[in-house]
Amino acid sequence: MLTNTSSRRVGIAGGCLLLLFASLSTWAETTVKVATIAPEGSPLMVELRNAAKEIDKQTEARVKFKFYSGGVMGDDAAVKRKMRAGQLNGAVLQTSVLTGDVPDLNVYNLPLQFKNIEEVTKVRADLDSYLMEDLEEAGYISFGFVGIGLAYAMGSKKATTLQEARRLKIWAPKNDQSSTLMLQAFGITPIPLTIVDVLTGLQTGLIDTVASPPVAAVTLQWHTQIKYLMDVPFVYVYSVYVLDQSAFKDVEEDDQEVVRTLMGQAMEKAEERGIADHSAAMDVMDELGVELIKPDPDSLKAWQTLADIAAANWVRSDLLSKEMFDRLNASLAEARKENAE
Amino acid sequence: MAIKHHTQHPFNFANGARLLFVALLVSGLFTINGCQAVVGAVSSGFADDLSEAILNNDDLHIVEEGLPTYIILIDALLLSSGDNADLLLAAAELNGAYAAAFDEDPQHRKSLSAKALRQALKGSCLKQTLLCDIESKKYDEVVPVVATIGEKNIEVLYALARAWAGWIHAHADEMQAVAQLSSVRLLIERVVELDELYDFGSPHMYMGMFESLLPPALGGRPEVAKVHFQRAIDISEGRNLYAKVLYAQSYARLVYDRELHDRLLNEVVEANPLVESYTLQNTVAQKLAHELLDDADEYF
Repeated sequence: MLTNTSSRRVGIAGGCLLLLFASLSTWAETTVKVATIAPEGSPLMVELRNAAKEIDKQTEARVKFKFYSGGVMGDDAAVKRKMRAGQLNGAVLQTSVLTGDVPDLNVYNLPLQFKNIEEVTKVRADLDSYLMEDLEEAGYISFGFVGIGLAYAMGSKKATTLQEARRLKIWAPKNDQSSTLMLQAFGITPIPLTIVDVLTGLQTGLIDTVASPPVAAVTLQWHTQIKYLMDVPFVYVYSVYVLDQSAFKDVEEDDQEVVRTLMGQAMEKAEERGIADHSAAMDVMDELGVELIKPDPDSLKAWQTLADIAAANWVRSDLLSKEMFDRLNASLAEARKENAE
Repeated sequence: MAIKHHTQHPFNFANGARLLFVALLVSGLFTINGCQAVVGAVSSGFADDLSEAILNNDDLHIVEEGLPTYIILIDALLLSSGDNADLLLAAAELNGAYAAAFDEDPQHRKSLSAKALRQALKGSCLKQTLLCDIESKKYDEVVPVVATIGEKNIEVLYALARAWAGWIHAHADEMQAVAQLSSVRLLIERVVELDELYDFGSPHMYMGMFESLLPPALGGRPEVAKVHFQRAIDISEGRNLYAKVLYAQSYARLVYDRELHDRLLNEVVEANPLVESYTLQNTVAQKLAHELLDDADEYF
């Protein structure tokens, strides 16, 4: 809920005995309430809190931020509902809950499109601004995106071909329709579990495979149950930071600029740290003796064919505009050309 | 050599919790173990007196200034007695504690905690060969090793766990360190299994920290953490004010329970810190309680 309090600041100019009323001005204090599933102490939360302190300072306490971390306000869908109800002003959340408003946010969600994090960085540099414009048009203020990393299939059982993968017990986040649909595109029927139950599921054999960014697998200690990692980036996992535009209705333009600049920088810093952690987590997997498995070219081609069909279906179903899909492919082509040179 | 009355640092992802760890380590500093190792050769009576004086000291500045002297002294003793397990564990205690408690330079803190871990690993290996190379074992291999450690080795197990936890905390920004959390947790769990009353229930405090490292949405179990914190408080009969501070910081903040947070911290602030062997720790706890209360409006 947006909290506005007005107070009066009285400026007084005076001589020894003469008191002159010089000015009377009013200003509003705005508290922006933001929720996220990111835990306190994570790089993202550290950066957001640092930015909030600086915003408080630069706006002379006219704009304050209050964060609700660790999913305390519920899952992303619940957070979005609370934003609509005015209980929250903003959130850092998975884009899947916003694709109803901005379908092109699906552009980074396509499976098997990125071969490495460098390609993601290049494509993000080319396309982020379009998506942020779309978000603004849809009624949001966007401070950008932050990646958690590329998700890889990993688990206690070895599989490289589609046929082998279809025999695995693969986890999908409960109530996450997009993940389920994506796996189903490969003919895989996932086992839905809440994230809380994944470690136990791996330990008991209820599931034997997860598709997860290595950072998440290490942080959540899933890596203790991982023996194999298919060395093919499956999908990019990331979040977006948005405010409802009403959050700025009582904020002066100069202060809005301060908020946009500092929160944008916070997201960039968190992104830099995320990229470093992604690489470090892959190294950890390697050091722990996790076997990196590469599908043979034929298997890889089979995976890619189904992924491309899924992407085409998304475009055909208006889950993603043709224009944005073309931009993605053009950017990827450039990235690969640069890499080849 | 007894390793008693320790409440050295659990760890946390939260950078903002550093002060809390600092204080935990401060409490860990003043173990009889470290001081006795240094001065034991001179006089066991003096060692007892010194330990008692430190544990009951409420002047943090004096302790911070004085500790490096003991670190240098114990390093000197190790030059000629590098295979003395007790001395190694004592050195790990002092180095690790000072690193987290007083060292403001993150890089130096990392190197000092790494030194402490090396000493603890070597000392542990000398004391119990099952623990040799445990740091390079996979989780699946650590499980059976820890399960075979019996009560007679509880001191070394606990000392190793604390040094390892200290190293992880100092390196919390590195994935390699985060990856080792589960192994350290196994060690602490084993200590609780062997003797939950050990170190006045402080292993429960560690378990409370482990269970509240992550929010429920990511697999944390704050309700289990709550039980552990409460057990640590009960076992110490409320004398360990530190358990209440951690309970507030780790649990109450995680679940956004402002009422519990403020109640616990106000209890700490209002309590008499002068408790035999806990005075210094309680003094630190009160300082931190004030800081957390001051920061509460911003957090909640």
